[in-house]
Amino acid sequence: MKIVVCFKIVHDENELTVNQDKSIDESKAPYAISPYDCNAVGAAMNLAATVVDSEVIALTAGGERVENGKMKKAILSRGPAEMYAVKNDSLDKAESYNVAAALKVAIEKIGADLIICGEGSADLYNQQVGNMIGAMMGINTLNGICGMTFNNDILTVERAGDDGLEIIELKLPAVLSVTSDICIPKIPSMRDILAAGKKPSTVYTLEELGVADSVCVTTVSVRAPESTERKQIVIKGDGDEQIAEFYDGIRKALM
Amino acid sequence: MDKLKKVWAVSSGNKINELTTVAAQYGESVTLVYSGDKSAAVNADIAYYLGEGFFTAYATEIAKLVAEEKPELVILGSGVDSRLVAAYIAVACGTSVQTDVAELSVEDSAVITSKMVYGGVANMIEKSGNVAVVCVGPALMVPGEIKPVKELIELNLAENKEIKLIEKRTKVSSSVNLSAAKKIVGIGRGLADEDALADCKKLAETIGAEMGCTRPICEEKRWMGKEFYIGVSGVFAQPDVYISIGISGQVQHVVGINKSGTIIAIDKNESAPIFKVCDYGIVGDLHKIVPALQKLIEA
Repeated sequence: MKIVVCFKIVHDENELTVNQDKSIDESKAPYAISPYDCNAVGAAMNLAATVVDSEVIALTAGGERVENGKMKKAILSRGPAEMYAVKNDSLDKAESYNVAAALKVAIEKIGADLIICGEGSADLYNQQVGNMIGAMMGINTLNGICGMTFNNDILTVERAGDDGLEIIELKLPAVLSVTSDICIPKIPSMRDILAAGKKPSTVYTLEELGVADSVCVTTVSVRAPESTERKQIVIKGDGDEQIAEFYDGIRKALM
Repeated sequence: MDKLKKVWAVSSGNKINELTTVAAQYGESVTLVYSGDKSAAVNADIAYYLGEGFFTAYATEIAKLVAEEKPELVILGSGVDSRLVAAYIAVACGTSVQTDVAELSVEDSAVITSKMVYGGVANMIEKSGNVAVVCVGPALMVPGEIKPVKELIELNLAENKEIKLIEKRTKVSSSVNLSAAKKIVGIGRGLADEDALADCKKLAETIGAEMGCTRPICEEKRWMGKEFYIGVSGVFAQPDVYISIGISGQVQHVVGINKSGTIIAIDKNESAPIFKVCDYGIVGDLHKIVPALQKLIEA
């Protein structure tokens, strides 16, 4: 079974800074693998471990960041044998339709029986790319997947449905978007990270893949909301005296 | 406000009143596409009934229908079924989906939406092209006056038989309603063990607070269910008092509590971001502070 697991390289949102005009500055925030995609990679590796003759390939789309050595190691140290990327500056901020269109063509070129995506990206969290890849490819597509097993050519999945847990059987090829509770992603060891540097990676450009870049939804603005003023009275230390002082401050609020 | 000519609402059977009410606000005519209970259709000029089958198995056919009729706006909910079908509709119409929409307006026939991005750090305003496919968030899901549908059309669409629903285990709905709670004790990864959890629960009980938690507490520690998770993609709470225990204060969590009246924080890490967004904080070992507070309150 050939599994392609898709991932996004994002700026760590905990390191974003807000400018005076409330716009967002990403430039100082380091790159990170979008956290929910780490669950997707973990789920892909776990499934592959139960299926003979299986391989896991990682695929991303984005601008310059797709060639970042640290990110390559970050993804490949989690187990995939190889990394592919679709590169174009427009893809860093592309809407989900365009990301899905780029990934779809790359997937067709690489070949895959199963495509696994994370629930949603840490930055936009639209939870659409996996579903759209499936819709574009015209293959079986499901989201909200929190468990999966493969037996006798049938994939049995658990889906966190709107009214409860659903057990669903489907045939490959398929695209699954998995929830973050499908597995706890493992932390790569130093050995994994060193080995990851030696694994192959391939970069396609949008032009090479023949994907047109269309605009359907335009971004008008991205602004931080007004923040609430807080007192920020912080006591340091957990001695009896400090705890008593702290309690004095909060007593009224607790009643 | 400008109105659009054709607005569609697409539902797996959930929240039909809410979705059609939103649709009627923005459209001169409302068309509903739904599955599940046939008698559940309300408010629409035309209602297309899909059948009782598995909603997601109709995704391709629903998308085809919408793409043929080209409404200016298609409204869905934010559940997994809606998100999946929204993707199919958007692909068929050659566009993207605007999801988790908290605000919606129409200007010069374009649909303008606002949603939270970067885990709650910012709001993003987007403008759609010819067809807007929108998954609306809970803020817009307000029920309206119920009117009967004018015309009900039963469709005989082909279900995707390659996706077979074998079993459905209905959720045991929890009685907790964190978004309405007046006091909440929220716990995070700083709790060392279940003894600490018990201490926090006791404290909550004493002050009459509900319990809430961060995402890792449900997903990694599995101490509490998903309905207790506060933050982006979870509950947006606005209690009078929020007591944060062992929570570092990552943006994804803080966005779910920043409308609280008073925020109280207990954490051992002095540089934890939670101390920047709290009213009262104490830096120290929660395993010592929580039982000590308990004694002080009981005294």
